[in-house]
Amino acid sequence: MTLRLGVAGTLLACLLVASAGLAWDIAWHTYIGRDAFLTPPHMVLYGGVAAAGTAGLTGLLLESWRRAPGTVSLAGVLHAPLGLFVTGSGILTLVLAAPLDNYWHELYGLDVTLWAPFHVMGLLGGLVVIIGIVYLFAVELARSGERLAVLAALLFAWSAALRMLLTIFQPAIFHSPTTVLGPLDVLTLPVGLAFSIAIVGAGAAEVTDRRLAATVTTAMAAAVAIALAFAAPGLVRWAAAAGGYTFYTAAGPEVQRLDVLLPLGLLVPAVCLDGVHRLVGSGFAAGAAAAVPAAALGAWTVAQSVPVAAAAVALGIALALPAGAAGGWLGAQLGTVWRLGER
Amino acid sequence: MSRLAAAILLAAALLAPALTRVLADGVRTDAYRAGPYTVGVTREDPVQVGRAAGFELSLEPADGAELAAITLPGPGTDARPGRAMTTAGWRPGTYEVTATFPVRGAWVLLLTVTGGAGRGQAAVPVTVAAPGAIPQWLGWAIGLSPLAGLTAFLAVQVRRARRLRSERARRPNPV
Repeated sequence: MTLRLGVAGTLLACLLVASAGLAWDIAWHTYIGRDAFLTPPHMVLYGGVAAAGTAGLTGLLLESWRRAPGTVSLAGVLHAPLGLFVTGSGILTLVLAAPLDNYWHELYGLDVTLWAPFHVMGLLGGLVVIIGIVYLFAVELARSGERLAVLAALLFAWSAALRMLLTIFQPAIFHSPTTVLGPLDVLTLPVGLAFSIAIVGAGAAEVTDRRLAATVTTAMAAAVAIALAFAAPGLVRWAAAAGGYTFYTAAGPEVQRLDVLLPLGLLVPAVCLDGVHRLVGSGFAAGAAAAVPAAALGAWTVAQSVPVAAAAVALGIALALPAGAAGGWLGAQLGTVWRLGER
Repeated sequence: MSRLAAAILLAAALLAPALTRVLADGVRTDAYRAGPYTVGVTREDPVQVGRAAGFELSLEPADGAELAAITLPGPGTDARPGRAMTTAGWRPGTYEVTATFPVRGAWVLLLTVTGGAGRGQAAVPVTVAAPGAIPQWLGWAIGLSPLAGLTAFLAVQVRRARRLRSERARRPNPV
């Protein structure tokens, strides 16, 4: 195993730990609230971030010392693959967001929605970390000549982007289902889902140039998301019993049906994307094709939680098409860089 | 000499109230009824958010009563009830309560006294202050700043993809 692969694999493992912490933290907020910064889920989340930071910094120093080919330079001093710099900036963003988020909670309350400034900052930081890890695996893929294990690791890392985007759009299911655009009310989730599945699916299809790449990536994301959806309520119950906490709701933590059905439902647009990408070879067209079932899934998901005006649903579905096409196009550009780039 | 002494006395008389206010600023003592007991509470006012705040309590009559305390969010404070740690002081009838308030705003320290004279509760209103608030728009501007960086990075990657594709197209195909 090469140094880069080792660093990328370690970062991926840290990312999984942080993902588990994030899922646990969201369930903690939902059922218990937040009474301190150092809650058990926060410790897991930030433990994963700290471990990723240590691994990334170690990789950066080793790469700078050995000056192997396939690196970019920062200020002529640090030399590393682009992915390590991207990952580092994502981790820095996360580290900056943590105290600012604590400060925001102190000002505005414990149960500020996920769409609060420094939650969004942290989530974006997480997304940047994921993109950086994918770049690291892509460099190894270019060097190793399409080894299946490296390809699988790359797709698994990229599937985390879909999970992260689903987390970012989670408040659009229940708390803030519509976005006000001037005089218009637009259902948000169809647009978000169309963009998310399109960028991730087209990126996977382009980098692998294989059948069912988007479907496999989506299946990976769904498997982890469903595992976390089942684990999080149990973890909250366990920690609550140990810490003497009480729950907001009488029933307490339980597995949410939509947390399972939504990731599973995304397999349909992923299959559509794969089919159209195979036929036409265009990320733009594949993204637009995936947008239709993704938008329908988004509208159905919101309808399970809150009543929404038909006009908002229609507008949401209409805007999902350009969002899907744009996501597909962007994903294809990223996939091209990963496939052809050597840094 | 007597003029100097008079001047000092006059200055002391003038400065004393201001000095007392400065020294006592932020600390107050109030008495509350808790059933058959009277509880004297000395604490900082306001207390700071997220930091352990100490409350010195003195109980009358000092009959060795048990004292328990919890924190309750007041109206308009988005928070949950919390626990407070109570320890007995070195003098009979004195206690020290330590509590941390995680959100700024109005809170209540609820004291429950149980002793030989009976049982009673006292609600001590607490004001929790936070450091200077940044406005929402600035919070969002900082929070969304990574999005600007990400967009710039993606724009560079789109150009790079175009360049890589054209380089590949120029490369002669192996026969």
